[in-house]
Amino acid sequence: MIKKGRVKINRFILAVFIPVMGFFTIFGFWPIIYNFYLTFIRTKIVTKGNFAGFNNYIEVFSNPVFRISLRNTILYCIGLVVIGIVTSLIIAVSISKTKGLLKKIFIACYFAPVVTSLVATSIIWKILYYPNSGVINVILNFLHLPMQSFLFDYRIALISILIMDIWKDTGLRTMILLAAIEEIPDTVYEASLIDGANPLQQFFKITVPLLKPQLLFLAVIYTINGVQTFTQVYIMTSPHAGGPGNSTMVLALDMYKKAFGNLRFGYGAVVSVVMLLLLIGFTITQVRSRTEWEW
Amino acid sequence: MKKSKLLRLLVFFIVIIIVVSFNLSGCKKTTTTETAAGETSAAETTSAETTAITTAKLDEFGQPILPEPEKAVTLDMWMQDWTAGLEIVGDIAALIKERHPNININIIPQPYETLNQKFIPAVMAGTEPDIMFGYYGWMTSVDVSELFLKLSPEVVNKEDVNKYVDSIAYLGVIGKSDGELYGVGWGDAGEAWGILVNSDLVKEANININEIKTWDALLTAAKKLTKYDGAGNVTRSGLGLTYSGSSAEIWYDSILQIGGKPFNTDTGEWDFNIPEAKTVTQFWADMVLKDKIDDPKIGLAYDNFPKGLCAMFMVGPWAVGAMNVDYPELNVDYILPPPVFPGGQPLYDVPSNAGWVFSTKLEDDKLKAVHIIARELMLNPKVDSIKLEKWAGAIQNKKLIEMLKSGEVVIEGKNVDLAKIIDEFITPFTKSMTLGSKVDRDYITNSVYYPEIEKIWGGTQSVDEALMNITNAANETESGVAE
Repeated sequence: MIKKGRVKINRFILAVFIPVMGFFTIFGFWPIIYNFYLTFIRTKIVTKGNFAGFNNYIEVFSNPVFRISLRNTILYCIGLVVIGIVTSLIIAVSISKTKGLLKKIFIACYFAPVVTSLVATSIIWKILYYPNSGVINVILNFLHLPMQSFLFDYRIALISILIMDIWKDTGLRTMILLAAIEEIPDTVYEASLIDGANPLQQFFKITVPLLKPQLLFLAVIYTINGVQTFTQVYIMTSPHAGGPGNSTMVLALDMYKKAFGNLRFGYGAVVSVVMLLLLIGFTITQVRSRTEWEW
Repeated sequence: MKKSKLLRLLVFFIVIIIVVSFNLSGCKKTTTTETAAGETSAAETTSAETTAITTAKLDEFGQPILPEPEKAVTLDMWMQDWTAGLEIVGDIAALIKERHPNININIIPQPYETLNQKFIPAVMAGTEPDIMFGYYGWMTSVDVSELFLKLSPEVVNKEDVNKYVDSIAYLGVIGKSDGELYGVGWGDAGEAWGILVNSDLVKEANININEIKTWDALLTAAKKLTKYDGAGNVTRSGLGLTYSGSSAEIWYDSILQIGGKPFNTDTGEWDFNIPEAKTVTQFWADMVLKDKIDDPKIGLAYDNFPKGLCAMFMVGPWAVGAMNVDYPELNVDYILPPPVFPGGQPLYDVPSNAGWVFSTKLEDDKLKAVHIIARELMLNPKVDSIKLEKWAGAIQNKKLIEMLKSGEVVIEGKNVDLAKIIDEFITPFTKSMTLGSKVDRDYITNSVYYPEIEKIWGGTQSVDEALMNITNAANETESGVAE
């Protein structure tokens, strides 16, 4: 008979759990707490900081560069999620129609960029985008199309980086969706054929609805990636990171430059709080919206 | 185990970890001010011993002899991975090793951005190397006496520095806290902005760069060197303006040179909405928008130059050495820029905006070694000659040396003595930059000004809007920098 309130605990699990909890507390939970503390402090870390109340928040939200970075980050997220998922879905559906060696070749080709390092990919694409001498412009010139400045044109610099980002992870998204597509029983499609559905109707009425869990998963993951965008922007726009004219400035880069470039840790902490709230907001919205998708 | 007891144990454990972490994260480097009363630091003890032992003996520089390390020591040094700079430091390390066999310097190259980001945090975390190369713009908002090893009086008395090093300006940065010396300048005289020239392209265009004595003449040459496509877009820039570190700082220096005072030391506020700033900014904008001698959309000047897509660009003389090392097949030349505005002065930058600093953790033989290294860097003219070969600064600028030798510029004293240039041009700039402002010039020029001029060049904003934005950003940062 188990006494009321007494729970039997496996000591082995406890022994394993405590170090993990400790690790998370030190490297996960504590930095978040300390970061919130920093948002109320003016500090250069060299000396003990002064309590600044909400001044850091006021400064951040009134800073035009921050507002630009917030706008760019939101647009980047939307682009990465929507365009990334749509293109991957189309590619996954196309690959699912192929078979044998051709299918394997397609999978290998699309997945190859996924396993390359983001830093290396960013450097290569920066070279590809180079005005006049980059490969892309050489091809454009060959086709008698106007050459573009890409990373040096404030109007299209961010889009240029987004294209690279979408290209890089298309393979991963495609594989996830392809695996899900292949799980859909053929009988469903056969039944729809009998009912007179055309391929487009099959796609929108059968394939997409049945892929909702995967689509939601990808939307959440790539929203997180989008908000945390830093490496590709930093490398592809160096030495004027965030340029031209702050047109590629994103939240993570603004935080990094202020905190580590100018020792403005309070400012950087506020930007990171904004990123956290953005992530939470996007994620909750997406998870809640899944109920609206269900049939 | 009861559930409630388990929960209490977990909460207790988490609280302990938080408290311990808080205390660990609050740790700072121990500074001399935290040293307990009655204790003396290792540096002070060594200093006392040094003075006692060597008072009667002077070295070749006229300074008390420093004790040699008793055993061989190796000091780690972070150096910016600029190729010519690494060669210079390597040669200097070899020279020091030759003169002091027990002293070895292990050079660890660091990319500029990496070095910038970890320069101060590494010192705070206690993970800095023994020696660091850094730019003074990274130090203007911090008290260097809390971060780096004090070099005076062991290396040289602060009062005697000017006997050996003719650029006093950097002392305002690396000695700001109490007048003592906390670093050694990379170059010890004035820098000068200049124009790196592709000799082959210039020759092809039949231009004699030595005859360029006015800015109009420079613009004419630049237009002749610029290439355009059928639609009138620049395909090769005649004078590159997109090496931001240079063009942004020239913008700032130009404002000062024509009498502008963007920083008010009384109110502690920046204001770029002044006629001088507008004149200079409009001038800089017109070179792209009206004169069309460059187009930022064709890429960066430094990247385009070796490809023949940029005939000339404004940069410090260090770039000559860098190009010679990285692109030995390229024929380059270097000229000093003429005065920008009629009646204006030649464009001179402030002296030696970089330097060597040393860790406060050093003790015993390593401390002795560092004192010797610092003295060699400051006082040994052979160190300068190493830099001279690699074009590391204005004093190594051969054109400037020729001007000095021909009497076109009269300088008294040794060839490293640029007192006249410093007195007339550089000291006023330095005073305006270091006096009162918590925000360094590098931040104003590279992080604030340069994105704004890019927007002007892109046609998305006017000069007035840009100056307003620069003023606001500078003041926000000035008030936001902690005490």
